[in-house]
Amino acid sequence: MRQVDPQADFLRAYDDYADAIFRHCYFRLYDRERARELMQETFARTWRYLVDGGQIDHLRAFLYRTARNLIIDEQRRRTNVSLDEFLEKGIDLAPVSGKILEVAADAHRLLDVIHQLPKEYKEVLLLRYVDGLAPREIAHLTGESANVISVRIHRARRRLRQQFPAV
Amino acid sequence: MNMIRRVLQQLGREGYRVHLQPDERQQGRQQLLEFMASHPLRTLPATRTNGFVWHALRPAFWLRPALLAGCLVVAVGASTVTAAEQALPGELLYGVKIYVTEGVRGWLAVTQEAKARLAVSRTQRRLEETTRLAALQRMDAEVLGAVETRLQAQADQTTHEIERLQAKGNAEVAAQLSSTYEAVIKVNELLLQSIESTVQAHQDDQDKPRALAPVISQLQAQGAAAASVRSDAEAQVADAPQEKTRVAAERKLKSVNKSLESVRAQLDRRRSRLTTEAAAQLEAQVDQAQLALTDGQETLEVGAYGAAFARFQVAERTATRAGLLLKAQEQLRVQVPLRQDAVKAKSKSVEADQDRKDKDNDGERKPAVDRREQSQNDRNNTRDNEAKQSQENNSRQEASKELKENLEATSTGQLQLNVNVGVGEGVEW
Repeated sequence: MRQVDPQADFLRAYDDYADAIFRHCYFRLYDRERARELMQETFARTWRYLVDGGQIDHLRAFLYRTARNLIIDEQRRRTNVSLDEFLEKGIDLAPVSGKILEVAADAHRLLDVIHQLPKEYKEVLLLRYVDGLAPREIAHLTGESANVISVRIHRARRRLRQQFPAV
Repeated sequence: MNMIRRVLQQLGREGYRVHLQPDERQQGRQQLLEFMASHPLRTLPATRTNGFVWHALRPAFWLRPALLAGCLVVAVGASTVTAAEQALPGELLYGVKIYVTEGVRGWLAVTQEAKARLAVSRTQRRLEETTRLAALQRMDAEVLGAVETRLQAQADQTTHEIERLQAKGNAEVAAQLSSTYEAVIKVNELLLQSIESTVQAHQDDQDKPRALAPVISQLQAQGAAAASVRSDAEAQVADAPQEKTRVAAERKLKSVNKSLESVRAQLDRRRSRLTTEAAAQLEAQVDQAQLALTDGQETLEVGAYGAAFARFQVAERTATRAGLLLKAQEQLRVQVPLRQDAVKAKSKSVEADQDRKDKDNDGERKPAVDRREQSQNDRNNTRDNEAKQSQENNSRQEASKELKENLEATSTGQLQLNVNVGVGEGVEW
């Protein structure tokens, strides 16, 4: 047991997860500015939860869950998530070499197909491959068992292969 | 399947290249730090296992009374902040409103769009405060000076934030915000003018200088500046690639439809509380917005997306103006100083009412006195009644005198604001 400094620990969590939460918001809203804003609000709300006496056992999952709720609210408010616009202009990335761009073209096409999958498949694929979460972490986030998540990822990949035969 | 897995992994690598810029990360960290400092967490022993275990406050038994006291302080603080929401310049809680309530909102506005939205919302709050102060007749020279300075600073900040948003390439939102900003300024200018003329009409000295004139002319200048920023942003939307302008115009069309629907619903709900004249003026505004909307739709159909966007902006601005005026018509009551002749007339009317009531009472009593066939007992009863009546009359006269004195002492009355919005005079927003 040790005396913790919650403020310093929380700032460390910001350093560790700000990018991940930002990315999580970005790949669901395709709006860089708004994703930044929701990332910031995710941390502020989580901190306020602790101030209000809340207890968090798994901070990373809690942050993702908070961000997920904010995204759902945002999507309800927005008339349309401008995926078409995003697909037109592409992901907002740092400059890269030509070789990586070729690889990226396949990834962009795949992302397009992922967005056409049923919601539960799209969700697990993004969480697993874009956010890089393990099945156990996804289970924690969605409230399902790790086994259910693994099966869903497997089925989602199978659906993806059917709809993305060119690869 | 391996192929899919390979591309998914590529996607993951692609995803990792979406990240915050160092300055964005630093700015966000600083804002979080400030937020945490303003919402402190009490530290208690806690374990940290499996990476993250966070225990919040678990007070020891002896700490509980202190915690209860702390909760009371927080509760009082929260109610102070809530009460401060209605505070006006010059009042004790106004500082809490400006630096605590609005300060916290400022911490969460990290993007340029959020900053610009916040600036417009703050302008609206400052202008509402100014209008309420003017309606309450509390705009003395000192308050007026402070209000002018604050309004100017807020206007400069708003224009700056909207221009920065436009410079960052978000002309569509810049156009929308500058349009709302323009409507807010114009509505408050109209309200102040109406308050000024209502008060002027009830003053003894008609040549007295108009107290609100400096703020009104300040708002006229700010309105012109807002219109110029809006016009620049609209031009940038029109000059964008055709597809982008089309998307912006279609998005604006949806938003105008929503705004109009909302204003119509509000008007229907509140119609019974409005004067016939006010309701007719607001309806004319809504019709004007509808006309601009229809015009915009026709323009959109022929493919002139930039022009359609501008027409939709006019429609939305007019609907916003109607919504704001509706709120003001219902809520604002102008405290007008009553002229001495009006005070006297009111006192006389109170006396006349009293006399009329007395006469009515006499009228009811006389037949009882005149009845010849009444018995002696009845006459005795009548005399008793007359004595009681006379006592009541004396007390009523005293009450009337007191009412007259009070009226002269306060010398103010309330009038519902009737704003002339200039509909039908070719005014276009």
